[in-house]
Amino acid sequence: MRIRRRWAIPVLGLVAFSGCTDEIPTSEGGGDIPVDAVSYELHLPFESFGRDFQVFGGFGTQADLPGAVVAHEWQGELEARTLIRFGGLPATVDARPPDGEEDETEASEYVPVSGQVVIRFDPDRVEGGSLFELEGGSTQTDWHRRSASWEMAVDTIGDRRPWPEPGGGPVRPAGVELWDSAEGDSVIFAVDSVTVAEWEDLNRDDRGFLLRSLTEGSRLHIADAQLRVQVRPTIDPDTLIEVSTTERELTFIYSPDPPLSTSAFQIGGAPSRRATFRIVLPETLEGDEELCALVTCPVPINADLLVYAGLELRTRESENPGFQPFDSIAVDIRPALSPDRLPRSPLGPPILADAEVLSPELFQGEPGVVEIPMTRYVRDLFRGENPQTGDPVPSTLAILTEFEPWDLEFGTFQGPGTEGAPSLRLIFTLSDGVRLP
Amino acid sequence: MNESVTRTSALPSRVGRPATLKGMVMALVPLLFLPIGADGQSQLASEGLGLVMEPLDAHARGVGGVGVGLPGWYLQVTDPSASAGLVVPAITGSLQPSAATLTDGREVGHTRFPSIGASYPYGANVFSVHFGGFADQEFRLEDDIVLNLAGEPVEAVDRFESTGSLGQVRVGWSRRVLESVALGFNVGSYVGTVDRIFSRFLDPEAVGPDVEPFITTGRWRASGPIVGGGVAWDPSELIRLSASATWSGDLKLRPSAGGVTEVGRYPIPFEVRAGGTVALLPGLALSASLSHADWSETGDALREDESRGAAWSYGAGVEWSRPTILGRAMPIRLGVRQRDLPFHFDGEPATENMLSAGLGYNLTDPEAFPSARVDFSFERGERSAGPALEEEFWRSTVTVRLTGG
Repeated sequence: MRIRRRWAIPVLGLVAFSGCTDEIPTSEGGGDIPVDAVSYELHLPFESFGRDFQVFGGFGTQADLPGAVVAHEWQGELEARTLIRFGGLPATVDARPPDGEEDETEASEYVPVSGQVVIRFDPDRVEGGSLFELEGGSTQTDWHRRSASWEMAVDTIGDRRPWPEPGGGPVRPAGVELWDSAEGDSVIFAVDSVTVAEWEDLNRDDRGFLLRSLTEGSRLHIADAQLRVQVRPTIDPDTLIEVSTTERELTFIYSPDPPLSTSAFQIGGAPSRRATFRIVLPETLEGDEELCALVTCPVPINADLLVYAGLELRTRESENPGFQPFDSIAVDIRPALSPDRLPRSPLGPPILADAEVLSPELFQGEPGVVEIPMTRYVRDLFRGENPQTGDPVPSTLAILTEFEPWDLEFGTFQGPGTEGAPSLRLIFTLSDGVRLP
Repeated sequence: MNESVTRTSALPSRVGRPATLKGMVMALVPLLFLPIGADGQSQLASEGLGLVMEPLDAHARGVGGVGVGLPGWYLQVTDPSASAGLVVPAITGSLQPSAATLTDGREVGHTRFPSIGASYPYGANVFSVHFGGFADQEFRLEDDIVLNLAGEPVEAVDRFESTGSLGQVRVGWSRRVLESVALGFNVGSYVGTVDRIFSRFLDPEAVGPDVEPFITTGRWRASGPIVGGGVAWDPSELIRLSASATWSGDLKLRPSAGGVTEVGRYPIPFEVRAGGTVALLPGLALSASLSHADWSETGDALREDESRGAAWSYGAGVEWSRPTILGRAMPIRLGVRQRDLPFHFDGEPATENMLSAGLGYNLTDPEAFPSARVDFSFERGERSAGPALEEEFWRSTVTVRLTGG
């Protein structure tokens, strides 16, 4: 034991020494780095890498949006009307019985006397002035919230029924109200007891409130709506009590319905539009004089040489000015996992870590360039498989909004065959490799 | 003299055998987890085949020696005959922390493990195996550059990094052919790997947030034969003279990873070493030694001829062996040495000068078995190559020697 303890002394000393930090001498190369490398940027035109360009629509409906829109001749063309369907009112109200104490109440049935439809607007999304003339009325035609459009009241599989008149059909008028956006965020329409009674029947498919704007060049975004009803309790008919709905359903119908483009990327809208195309990467790189002086041209290219890839899209104004982006659009790219099943192909996870948020100004006036970085995807595409999973890499991409639908408006980008068609920006670094001294 | 080693031979070989082997192994276990020559130590690592290392122990470094001609019997790869007198199995290992202040004032540090060896006597013959360092190729170069990408300036950083280290492994035989003369031979091979990595980092603000670095790598594995031989002669009890020579075939670097195909083939020069020790007074000994190798052919094989041709190394020192602590000898050593480094730096010949001090200590009583001994040396020196290189460094070496039956 004595010997072993003494041996521990140098051993511990060695262990202590071994804890020293190792640092590699780092020097400025001063041009002495023994590797010749050249970085080379090229912009592949769409014709060189893009195939099977298509635009699809019909993803989601405007009923999925959190609000609704009313517009009248917005940008000279857009008409939009909002349809609201209220939930049920409470079955009873608390009222004082005829012979009860002052603070005694009990549940009582009631009789509607009158009602108000309260429409609240989003003050940040009001366009076309500050004073607006709005008209409301109760719908008289059966309609289906998720499939209703400007022409069709119901448009489901096996059941297609148009409005008697496009745009919501005839209504029982609830009047015309003036709303001054400078004085408040809401407008109120009075509805009679008959209408309220009709709306209380939740089995009726024709119940609903249609709101339209009569002010030319207006576009208003509706944030919420509520039905308030004044009622008389049957046990205390001398008292008026106000009850309100806790649920409501919003949607909107609009016209025109811009056609899907065959020559431009359309991203967004409600129902949403997507653009898809297939990427075919070149196998060799035709270099310029500088590149070919270093390596033999054409240069075989692969994932290891690629350091950056970005899809360049050039914005343009929409052919339908009423559908110009009104707010930012978050654009994403996802691979189509079964391209042969487009447009209903399932999509893979987003290629981008964060969706690319595009401001509405990009789609106004001079075209802007939007570059969507996709280096890792293109590297994997060069390899032919995902290095983490070993799965093959889909070569068909869908460009779409982060959520569908995102908004009524959609972004438009120059398509194939046009000046400003998409291009693929690629940066390669090529070298003669590391060598021995 | 390596008293502890020679004296323990008088003890019965059966004493504590199981504990001895276990203790020897346990004592060296920490060393096995240390990097072997894996650390950068000088800007000279980027020149030629790197900074050529000498697998010397703390005793040799303490007296400014080049690895031959020290008194006693010991394991030293540069002195094949020096193990001829070891009569019990022995293992030895060295650990070498060091630090350097580079030309521009930056400081780097590293720890390496320059040698480990084991010997086993069989009859009058002693067989040995030795691992040792050969060349350190750890360095990194960085350049800030501006590229022209599609007509736009883009900042980038180029980085070249070399890691890994070349070493050697040899198996040897030695024998005392006369009472005063010993011979030794060894044969082995170069071992180790060299990794070279080039990276280019483009400025993400100029290119895009998704830009990836460009990286290209290569790995080579070293091989090549080495044959060494030496003779030790004790003309009297006061004098030890030794000489050794090492012949190497070409050092071959064969690609083993990274997609490189280049094969490196570098002639390594014939190297001779000679030295001796003389006792001046009781307890005071003077040692001196030198070595020579001509690296001209190696330079011819390099992409750029960076060799200086003939490279000499010489040094001398004294050992005062009378001091004791707790009744055990603790020799004190002083030395001075100069070494011509085989490769130029920036076109200038490079030289290493150093002063050294050291001591040794028996960790066990002289009569104890097994025997454990530790030697420590401290070197302070500088490397220079014209105005382009002026490095100051310190280097300490700890050598543990364990013997047992």
